[in-house]
Amino acid sequence: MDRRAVLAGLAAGLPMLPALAGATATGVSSSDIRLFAGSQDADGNNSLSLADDRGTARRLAGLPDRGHAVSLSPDGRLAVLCARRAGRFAVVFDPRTGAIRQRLATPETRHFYGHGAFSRDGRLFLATENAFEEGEGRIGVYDAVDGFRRIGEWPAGGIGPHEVVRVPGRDAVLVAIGGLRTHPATGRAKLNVDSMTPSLALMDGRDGAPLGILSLDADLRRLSLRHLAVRRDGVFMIGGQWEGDPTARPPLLAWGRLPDRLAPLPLVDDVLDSLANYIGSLSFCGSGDFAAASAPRGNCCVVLRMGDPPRIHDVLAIEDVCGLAPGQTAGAFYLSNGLGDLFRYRATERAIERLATDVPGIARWDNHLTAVTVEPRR
Amino acid sequence: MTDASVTDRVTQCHRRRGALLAAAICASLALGTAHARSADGYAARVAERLVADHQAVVETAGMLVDAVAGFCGGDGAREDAQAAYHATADAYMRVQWAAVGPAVPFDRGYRLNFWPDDSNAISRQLGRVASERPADLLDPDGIAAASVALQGLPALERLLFGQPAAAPGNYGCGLAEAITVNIVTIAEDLVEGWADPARQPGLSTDQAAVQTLLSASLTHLELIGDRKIARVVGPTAEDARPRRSEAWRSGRSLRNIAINLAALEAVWLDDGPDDLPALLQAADAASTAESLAAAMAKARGLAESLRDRTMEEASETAHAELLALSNDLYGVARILVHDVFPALGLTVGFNSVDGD
Repeated sequence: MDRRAVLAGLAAGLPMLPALAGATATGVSSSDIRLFAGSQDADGNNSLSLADDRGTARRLAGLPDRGHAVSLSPDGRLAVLCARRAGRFAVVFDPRTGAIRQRLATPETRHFYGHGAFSRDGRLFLATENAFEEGEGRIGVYDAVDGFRRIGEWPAGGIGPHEVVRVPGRDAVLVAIGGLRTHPATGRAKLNVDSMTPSLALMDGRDGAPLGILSLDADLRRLSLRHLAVRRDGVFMIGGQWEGDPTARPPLLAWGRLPDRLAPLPLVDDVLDSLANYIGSLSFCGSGDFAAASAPRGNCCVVLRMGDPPRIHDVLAIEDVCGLAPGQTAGAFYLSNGLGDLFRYRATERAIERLATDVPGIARWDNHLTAVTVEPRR
Repeated sequence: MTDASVTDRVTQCHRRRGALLAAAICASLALGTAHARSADGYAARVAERLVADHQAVVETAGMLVDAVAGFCGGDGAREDAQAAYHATADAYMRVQWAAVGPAVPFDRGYRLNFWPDDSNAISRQLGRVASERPADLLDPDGIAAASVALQGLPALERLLFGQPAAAPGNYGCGLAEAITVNIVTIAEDLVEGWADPARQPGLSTDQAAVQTLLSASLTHLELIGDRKIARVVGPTAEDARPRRSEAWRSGRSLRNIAINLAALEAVWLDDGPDDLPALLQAADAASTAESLAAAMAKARGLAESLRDRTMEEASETAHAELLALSNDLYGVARILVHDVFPALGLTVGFNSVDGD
């Protein structure tokens, strides 16, 4: 791994890990990148799984139901996979070795929405949760230095908080507020589409103090804001899922700069058509020069070259594509899909390659992919 | 080692043009590892049935044209027009699931029945035109070019059962007459489209057609559980909002569900040599067909027992049954996703089934 690549990885906020002891530690071959995600086998059994960029993969732990997203601590020593909505479990593991540290559960009156983030100092693990009887969104606060004890909760800033991301270089987190109320008694049905108010909530990552709310114009109030990615300089991208008139073609992506700039990103109609009004995941590349947004319903992924405004660079046709993670270099991404395929894409060459398919025990990759760069061994 | 075929796919994705077809085309070109086993015959069988079912929409809608014209001309009773509406809606609910293929171009599916309408566009648009009375909408060609919300069954339902009420000689009656003619035209186009499925988006090969049709049936099942039931009845009886239900004005929300499920049962469980149970049997998954049949029988039994109640009444007196029905439907969906589709080598969008 060359020095530039290491720096690129660092620039993207990719945690660097000490060298793994090759195959013995994790059961996958030694290479520069580790990809973590929920997965499912052909019989519907769910796992937390690990892959490398040669397409080797293995399951680290069984899960009682579908997992959703993996969050990494700032020092790269811990990672947490949260259950997919409306699951109540989470798994804490060591991404350096793949060892499971412990399992968590929300209180019975809460469930996870699937995403979490560590505070800047790594002391707190913050998870988006549903206080479903109250119909309110919460940030569950877990003490990462005291056995992940749940030490409290904060208002999330709205109903249906989904992805929460640590803002690089600040004691702050940014929360995508989907705006949709659900309740376990009615499964995944959205109960308040008529009155939904999606937004972005910026809050202090130490105590939950509100630092600002960003919203799109009223004509986009049916765009449930779910996923986001924040660059080191505070530029962010956000992707939505449209709950309004299904024949409409609203802008599904918005971008901005913290603390207060947010604007929809106009896309040409044929690109919007291919996204099917639904963004599943977002990521910047290692250098931050490109961003990608996956559209599993459209079986497409749109790649943008960042600028003011960001512009379409490429559109990839990949069936049920959703998971996205930055590669180490400028324009590099990893992608996964619901058919068990893993891809690497290089925007600079507009080149995509399939790294893995038909990995034993991994029939499907779940929605999100998290990349960890491994420090080169001397 | 860039996979040349991948680059090719990307190029093809880039070449995609043409409004609403793009997503379907993208889906059919997309990279994937699993493919449908040979299912020659099944797609054709489903399409055949859709021709017949859409033909029934054409026929009932033809009578609806006459009944509404009679009512508006002062020769017939409102009740006769309402009865003809019910007959057309009964026929339509058998094809509501098939929101693919010929239903996609020109927004035919949405124009025939704009649903779901979370932003209440139908009532807003109707209120506006009832006060502005644009003359061009009284012509079938004019209404066919108007907002999709004004064109089909839900707008007509408001005119015949709710507000703004159609009455002989008023603008609403003229609009209702134009809508009925438009419904016939769209349904005729759909008959034609389903009679020639290979020319339709997403249906060009048998393999793509099976995937498209079964995905559409699953999507509709989930819409019934989520939109037609769960979102309407809410987690507790106090949360029930019966006026969120489909076609509450004509009191047929639960009748629609019962008919929808009967139609889906035919798609999945009819027992001909080319039907799905035979495919499953050929794939050594006969027990999957049996568990699907059992789960559907349970859900249908419950739906039929609720069929003749209004949603308003049922969400008070039968809240638990309604929740149970929506859970039964999730159970059916699980069997489709985990057992039926994999047995056929089909993929459903693991990551796109619902909002995460």
